[in-house]
Amino acid sequence: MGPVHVNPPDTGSDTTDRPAAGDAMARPGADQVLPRLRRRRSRAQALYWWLGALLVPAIWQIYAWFADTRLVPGPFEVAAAFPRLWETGELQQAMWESGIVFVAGTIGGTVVGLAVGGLMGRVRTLDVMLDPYMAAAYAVPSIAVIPLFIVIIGWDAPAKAIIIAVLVFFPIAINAATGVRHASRELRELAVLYSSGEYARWRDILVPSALPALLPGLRVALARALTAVIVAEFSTAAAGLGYIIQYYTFSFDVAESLVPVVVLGLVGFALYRILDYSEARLIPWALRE
Amino acid sequence: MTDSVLSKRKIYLLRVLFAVVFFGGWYVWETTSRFTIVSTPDAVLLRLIEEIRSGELAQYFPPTGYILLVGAAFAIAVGLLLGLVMGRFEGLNKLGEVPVNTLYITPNVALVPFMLILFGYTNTTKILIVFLSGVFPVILNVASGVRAVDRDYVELSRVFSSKEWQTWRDVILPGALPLVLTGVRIGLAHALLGAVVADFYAGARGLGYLIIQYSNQFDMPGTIYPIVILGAIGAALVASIKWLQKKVAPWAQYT
Repeated sequence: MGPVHVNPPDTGSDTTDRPAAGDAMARPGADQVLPRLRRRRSRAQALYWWLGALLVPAIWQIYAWFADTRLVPGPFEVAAAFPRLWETGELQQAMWESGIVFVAGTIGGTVVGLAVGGLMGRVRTLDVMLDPYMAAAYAVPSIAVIPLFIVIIGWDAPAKAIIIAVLVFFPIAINAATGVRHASRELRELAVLYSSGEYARWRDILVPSALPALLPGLRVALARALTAVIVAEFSTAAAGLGYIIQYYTFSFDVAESLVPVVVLGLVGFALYRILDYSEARLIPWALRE
Repeated sequence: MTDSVLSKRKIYLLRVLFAVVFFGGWYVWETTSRFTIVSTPDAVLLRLIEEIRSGELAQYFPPTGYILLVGAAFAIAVGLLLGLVMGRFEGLNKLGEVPVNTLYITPNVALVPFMLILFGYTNTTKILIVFLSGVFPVILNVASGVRAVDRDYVELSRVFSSKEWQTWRDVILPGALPLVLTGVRIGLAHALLGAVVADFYAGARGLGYLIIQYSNQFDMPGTIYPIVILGAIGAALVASIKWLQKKVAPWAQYT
């Protein structure tokens, strides 16, 4: 009886995953009534979407034309620098070093955050006890604690992964607790009436209710994690994409130094697409408003 | 399920209990364990009081406050403007979708060395870092706030032949207000993050620089006390916007 199945199935595929709120196509029957209008609209939207994707590179190129070319390389010069870093293997090595820290830290922080947040949402005593402290810890700008952590636990890859995990923990735990806490009262009472087991409650009620709060939390967590990886690498200056950026900037090879930045931008783009796709698949009812 | 009602008194006791266990445990660990790297909580507190007296805080707080104020003001102004038009016009929303979402999740700290080449170790660099940290969450939240306004109300105001600005004043702005303020709150939190990054890398001033300097000297109370102050600033900013939300838009539900 999960609320997932109560909602109408996805009506037709849009050019993008996220249906616009209040959009004509979100309403039942609009597909049949206005097929031509719909097609024209979605084509225009796809065009805007692609124009938007090219916006930042275009502005960058225009800026590069007018700026001092030695200091501000354009997208093409950076693209030309890419094989230079790739052939020596240093880019792959740095991507691996940063990636493993990012992935391990994010997974670790998410797992612990889900466990603690889920418990807080479910057990009221724990919730009222921890809530103010979680909020206070979350209010501390995460980046500020990185130098402290480096002194305490060191700066090898496992230490960095632990730092990332701690920073990821808070948005995940807080959002998971919020989501579980706000599961509809009627549904929870229904579960009591049907004497559902703990597992069934989580599967059918608590997890689906928590997802709309949790996925935005994941977005925040991933942004924090990526920033933290780079800050940790700047601070320790030994490995990863952050190190390459620093190394080439300080030797004034600006085009080379921007290659990892572009890589990070592509990672950011991929993560945003994955998150949007998962939201459209996992919580379509929450996006439709 | 477990909706047992807890009395105010019991909640208070639980919270005090946690604080006692946490800080007590920290203190006992530091005084008995062999791995005493972090200093004790009372040492941090004493250090904080000492540095307020010595004037170190008065010297290092204003630069951070300045870049935060200017950068966040720009971020909120630009973010409100872009968010409002993106939320209202479908085409602009599609146009902004990729750059705003991508730049939000991409760590703009990666651009700091490049900005240092362009602008040097100046306040311009620092304010730019704060601005870039704060602006994208504001855009995203403001735009989704405008889009969350009930379409039927907008159409109703059209039916009554409202002008565009009247629709904005009577329908869109009041309807979007709760999420707009949420955007401002998240934007401020991110701007504070940006201010710390700016202090770390773009010039030897501000609270972030204190953290870097003291952590390089393995001076733990010195490293922790600016973090405590930054946490207090963050909490104060968040709390004041939440208070404002309850004041000006009490009908909305905030999580």
